Amino acid sequence: MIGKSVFRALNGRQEFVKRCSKIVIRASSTVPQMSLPLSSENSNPLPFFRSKQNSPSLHGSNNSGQFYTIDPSIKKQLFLYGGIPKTYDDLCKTFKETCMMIREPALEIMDYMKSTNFNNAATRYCLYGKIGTGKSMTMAHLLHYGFENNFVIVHVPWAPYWYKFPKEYSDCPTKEGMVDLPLDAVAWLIHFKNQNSHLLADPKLSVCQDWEWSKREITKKGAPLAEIVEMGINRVKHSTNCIEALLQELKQLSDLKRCKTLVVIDGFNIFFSDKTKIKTAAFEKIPPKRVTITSPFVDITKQDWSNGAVIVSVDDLAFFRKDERNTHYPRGLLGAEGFEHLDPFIPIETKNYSEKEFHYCIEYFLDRRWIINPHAASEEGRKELAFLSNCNPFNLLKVTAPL
Amino acid sequence: MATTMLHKHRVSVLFSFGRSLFVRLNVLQGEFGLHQKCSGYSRPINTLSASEAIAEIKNMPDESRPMPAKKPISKAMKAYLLQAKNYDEFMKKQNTEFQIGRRHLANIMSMDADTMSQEDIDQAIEFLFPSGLYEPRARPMMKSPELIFPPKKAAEFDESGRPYHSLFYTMNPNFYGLLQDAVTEYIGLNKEEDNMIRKRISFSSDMKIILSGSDWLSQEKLSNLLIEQIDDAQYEQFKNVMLRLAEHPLSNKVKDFIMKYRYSLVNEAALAEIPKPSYEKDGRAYVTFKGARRKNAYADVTVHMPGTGKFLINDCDIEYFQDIQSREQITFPLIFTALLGKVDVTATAIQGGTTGQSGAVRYGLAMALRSFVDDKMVERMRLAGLLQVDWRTRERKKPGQPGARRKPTWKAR
Repeated sequence: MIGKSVFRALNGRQEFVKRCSKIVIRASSTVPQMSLPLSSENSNPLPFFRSKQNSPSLHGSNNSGQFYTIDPSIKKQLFLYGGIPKTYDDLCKTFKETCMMIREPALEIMDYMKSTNFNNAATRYCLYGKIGTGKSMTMAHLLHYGFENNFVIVHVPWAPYWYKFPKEYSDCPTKEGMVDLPLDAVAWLIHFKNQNSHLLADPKLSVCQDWEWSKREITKKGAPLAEIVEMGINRVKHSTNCIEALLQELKQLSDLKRCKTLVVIDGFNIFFSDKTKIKTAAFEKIPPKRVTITSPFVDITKQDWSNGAVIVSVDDLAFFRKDERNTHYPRGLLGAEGFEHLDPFIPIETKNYSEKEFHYCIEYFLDRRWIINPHAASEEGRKELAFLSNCNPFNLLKVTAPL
Repeated sequence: MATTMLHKHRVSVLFSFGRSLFVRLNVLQGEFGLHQKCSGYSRPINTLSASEAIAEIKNMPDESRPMPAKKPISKAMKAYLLQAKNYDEFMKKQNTEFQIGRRHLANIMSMDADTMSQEDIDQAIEFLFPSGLYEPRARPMMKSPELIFPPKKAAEFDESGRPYHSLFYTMNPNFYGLLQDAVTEYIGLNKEEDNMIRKRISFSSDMKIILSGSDWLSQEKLSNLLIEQIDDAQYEQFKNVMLRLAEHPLSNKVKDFIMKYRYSLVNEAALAEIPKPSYEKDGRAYVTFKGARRKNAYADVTVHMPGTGKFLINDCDIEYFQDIQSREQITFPLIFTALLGKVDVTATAIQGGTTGQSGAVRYGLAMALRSFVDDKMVERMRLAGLLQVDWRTRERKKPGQPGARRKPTWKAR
């Protein structure tokens, strides 16, 4: 466990390598080849850290801390273009299953959503917390919940990608001083289409007004909503306009009770920051306000529509490294402008693992053979892991990686 | 004559030093009764009366007994004795000056001159004459002359030129005396061993001296101790002889003799003073270790004994250190002493960077935890290196080089 002292104690690298190779040889010869059993294959009663309920709508506080499995087909539909953080996604590939821990923040929001009066203006929830405590994971859980409950999902997996790693940017032809991100807009529309494919076929989702894209291209009132999406995907020039139109339509449709919308935006605070990597044709760096794709998503988080919910997360990692604000609280991250825009909202904090959650997590890692070192599984080993990682979920993952 | 000398005194007669040549010849004469002309035979016999002659014969010294002659002191001897006398006088003078200086210093610093210790003097001088020099020996110091001026041997022979030490003619009497003492001790141990075998007393391992934790005095230190120049061959010989003695199964009996020529590798003074914990109002024991250092960082660490494993550093939890290495550093003492989760730790670290601060906290924590563990564990901590200040600092950049070790790019031509 204390790698360095063991290293020193064994008198040099050669000794260390010799012993390691001995262990390796021993392992390959004596330990039988094990295939990682999938939870779905288990016909026996599930271990205590796994939940039988794979449907988020049925999750309750009795499931708190347990891991539930996401069906691969659902994962493909919901998270193909983002949603599960990359590190965790790699872990899922290693474990051959997509399992997520059911934690308090998600349960809390789901509880509120179950008891919300959707006639009122759309409630805004703001997820905040220290880095690595599970904001994105909570959002993924809630996405699954929204998907199950037939919400139309407006999901931005990680908003800062648009401003830090834009695919392509060009000056907006129609609006002066603004810059377009045409390819990113198209990519988002494809993501939207993928997530809501089962709902876009619904005839209730029809356009409420005429939309004119150019002299010849018009989407008439009553046309299916999918047409706007297709227009944006096929005609790159109009992609951002299509997004604007789409989101406005969704607001109206939600008001008319023809659908309910769940807006999920990760890294929302980037919309109110000062810097991006995007430049105008004159090489002038611009803030997110002057990027056309920003306004539709800021607009949909307003409280001028009903029959929906807005879940937003604020993260210090959204900013550029140099501009990190070293705070995890919404007021600090959103700034005055952002806070005024989002106010009033329900702040939900994501925290480090509790003792029970930590225990369940370790058990899951042991089950998946992420932790092989026997000392790590012992009482003292666990204490040490808890201390080293401070029960931070992300840190725990990193600390246990070499074990 | 030379050969008989050898037999008696086990000395090789070296004629390399001119001065000592004269002395030795004189001594030779003295030893074997070769007198210079006695003054009693100055007058011719035919001038004396019978009674006078008889009286003279009676008063004549017995020729069979060698008599120390009253010979004039040679120039070399005179010079030597003068030198010794001068040295004594010089030291006396320096001593009085030092004492006067002490009184003046006490006056300046308003301290009591009688109770002023050398430590107080050192502190006062450091205060009055602050120095930026790196080498401590180059800084201003005020010490008793015995400590500053190299010790010289007192007069090694008397006025007649007869040396006091039996091994004087070896040129290094103290050194060879030491070797002879070692051999004497060895012979004594051999006799004891024989006795024990005869009485069938069993030997145990604790009758043999344990040399770990200490090392032989260096050549320089040995030279200083014996006030003689010891060359490499002699030093090797010394080590061989002492080692031979130490390897004897009963060497613990001569431990005092052997340890005189060894220095301890462990800073026992510092380790011996394990602080006792103080107590809070609610009865919790706590210990604070201040001034723990690593690189440029300083840390003060407080440990409360009946605790729940809380860890606070500069009012943040362990997430203050973002990299895993720093976190492992501060975890190490707790894991090692198995006190993780049983104590509360509060630390403040200033200056330095991540590595420095975490290293300082680790050292402070280990030093503070000593009060809550038994001696065996303290020893184990010492062996693990937890109780040792990590003295490594950033190496200085040298002129003509881009860095501390980096040299300018080497070019073939």
